Amino acid sequence: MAKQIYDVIVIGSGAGGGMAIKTLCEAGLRVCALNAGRRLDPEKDFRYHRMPWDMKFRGLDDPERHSESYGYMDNEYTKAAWDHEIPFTVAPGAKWMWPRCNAVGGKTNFWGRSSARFGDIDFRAASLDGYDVDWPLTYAEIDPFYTRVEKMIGVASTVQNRPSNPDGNYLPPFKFRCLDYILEAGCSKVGVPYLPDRCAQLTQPHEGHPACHFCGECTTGCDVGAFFSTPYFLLPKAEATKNLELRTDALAKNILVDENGNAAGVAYIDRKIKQEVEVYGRLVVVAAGCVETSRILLNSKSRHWPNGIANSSGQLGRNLCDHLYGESARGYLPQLLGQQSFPDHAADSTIAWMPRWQNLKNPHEETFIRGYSVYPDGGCTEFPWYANSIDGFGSSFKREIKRRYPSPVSFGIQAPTLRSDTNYMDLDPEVKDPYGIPVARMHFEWDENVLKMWEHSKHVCAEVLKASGGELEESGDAPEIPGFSLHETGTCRMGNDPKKFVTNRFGRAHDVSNLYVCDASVFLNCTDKTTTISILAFSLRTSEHLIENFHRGEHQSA
Amino acid sequence: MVERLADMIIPSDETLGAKEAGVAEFIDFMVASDPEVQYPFRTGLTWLNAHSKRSTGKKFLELSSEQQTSLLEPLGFKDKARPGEEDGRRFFSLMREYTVTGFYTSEIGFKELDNPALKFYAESPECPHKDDREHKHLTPAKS
Repeated sequence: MAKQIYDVIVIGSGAGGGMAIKTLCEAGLRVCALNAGRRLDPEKDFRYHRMPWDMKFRGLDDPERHSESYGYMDNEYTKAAWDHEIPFTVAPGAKWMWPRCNAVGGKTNFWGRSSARFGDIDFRAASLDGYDVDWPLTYAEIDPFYTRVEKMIGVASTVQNRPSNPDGNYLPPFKFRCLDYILEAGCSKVGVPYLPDRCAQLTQPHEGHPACHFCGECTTGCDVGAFFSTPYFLLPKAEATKNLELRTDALAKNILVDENGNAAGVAYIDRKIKQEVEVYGRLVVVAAGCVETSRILLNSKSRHWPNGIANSSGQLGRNLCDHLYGESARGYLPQLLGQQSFPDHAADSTIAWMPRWQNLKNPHEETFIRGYSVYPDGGCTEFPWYANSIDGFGSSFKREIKRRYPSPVSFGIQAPTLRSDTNYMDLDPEVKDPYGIPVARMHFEWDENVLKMWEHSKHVCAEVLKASGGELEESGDAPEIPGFSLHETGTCRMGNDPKKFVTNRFGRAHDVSNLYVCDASVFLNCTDKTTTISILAFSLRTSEHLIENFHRGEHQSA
Repeated sequence: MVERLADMIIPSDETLGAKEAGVAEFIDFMVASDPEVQYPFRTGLTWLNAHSKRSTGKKFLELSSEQQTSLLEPLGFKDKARPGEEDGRRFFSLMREYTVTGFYTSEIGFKELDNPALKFYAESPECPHKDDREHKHLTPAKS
């Protein structure tokens, strides 16, 4: 039997892979997509509106499993969707957690939905403050891709006229809750912006997808697809072309190369039969998610690529950045004590944001460079987390819990680390996963700049709370550990100089002309904004560049 | 004993409490599933009985509810804390945490707070007091 050769093999089906799969299939290319996990069934694998008392452990999960679970999204409702089989190691002194959803659609099944565009303040940050290098493109170049992505996925927000946060095309915003109006007034006294977030949640029906029903359980999976995820928004379009073959439980091991060192396909483990399988293609797109993408490339060693494919620069796996997350302040708003309960949780926290306000006029206004954003949250949540901070017991205790129910507020920081030589991933020389593949070894610590942002946010958020008439109960003591945000970037950074960057300005490997990267690993750093919408925009741009290269005759169809 | 403590922490008064919500059964189940908390629960309950015998000559469950309350107050209220009872306070705090968790994840606990979670809305819910954005003049809700 003749060897089957696809036009393109795509590794991963998250935001980056999903967009590549759809774009390439619609252009008429035959695509084989590999995904490390299975396809989810919303009824079984999502929360599906189950109440805590419907669950064996009230949604808190089996205590025996706690040590294994990664982060807040991996819980009793969705535990079957998160990967616990493939280990990773952490270098001495470093810290890292790594929640990985290996199901089809990846983390888009459960993501936080905040969808701000990057701007020139991000792309040109190095020119502004002298640290690191600029991105190899301008905002004007990526702007149309953001516009098209927003049309595809639907983002609710308002036009805000702040150059540091370029506006897009928005669905009607989420409406402000009581706590938003109170904090907005407090913020204006302190001189900090308080605005509707850019939230990829459908406030009205959009492109054939139903409107949100505001149940507030987005991060445990949406059973109607009222926010963007690959399985609801991109895969059906790809499948309709009949150009897609999606292989599930296919854990990519390494890129296969031909006699010239170009990509020839992918070797993967079929997890159902626990055997290695090879699949061949004219091109390979890697979109396995930042760290996993680099793990696959570093594991692709051959006579041509003794240090991993596309790694002549030695930069593969380097320049890892992440968002520092943490609760900068927590307290309550006395104005709301004893008020009727209100569905504050309708957008699962991303109704409002305090977008970066530091270092805007002058890149050196503060003691740190760049900037961070804050997500305020609070009100009537599913569980009264504040209860344990109330004193006493008995009827007075019970009444106080009820009285406080509408009033809690908290401020979550999202602050980017700076590129550094000491934050990176490589392969563990000793530890292998159950399939014999060397695992990722993480080297990461919060840098001084990001810790200054953390301290700064504690002061400002306490001030905002005070100016809002609120009571401060706790000023954040320690941020979450690295990896918690699920916003890692870098390791295959894009740039014009093949000696310094793994991929070119379009995400194509400098060393290997038929190898492309379509996830956040090409980003130069993580900025103060979330990653998903930018992964989608950059993946769309890279995929179309790949298609143009086909048309130009640089790549031939199989 | 767990049942009595849960009932004292979140009593049945004008509204239903821990007893009706089956909190003791929940705590039994969670503790049975978690070897890490079995020891603190067991030693805590033993401490409380020994403390009760030392103070009154009776086991905790043999006391009147007034006596039980006066034994627990120094453990549960910060301003009534007494030196030498740190172990008891730690246990009471653990007991209270489990009671709160069990109660407010139950259907009765949801009703107690009029918990709006997981309900469906036709539109994004909006603050009903837009004429008073700083919420300085709200009518206090009925207690």
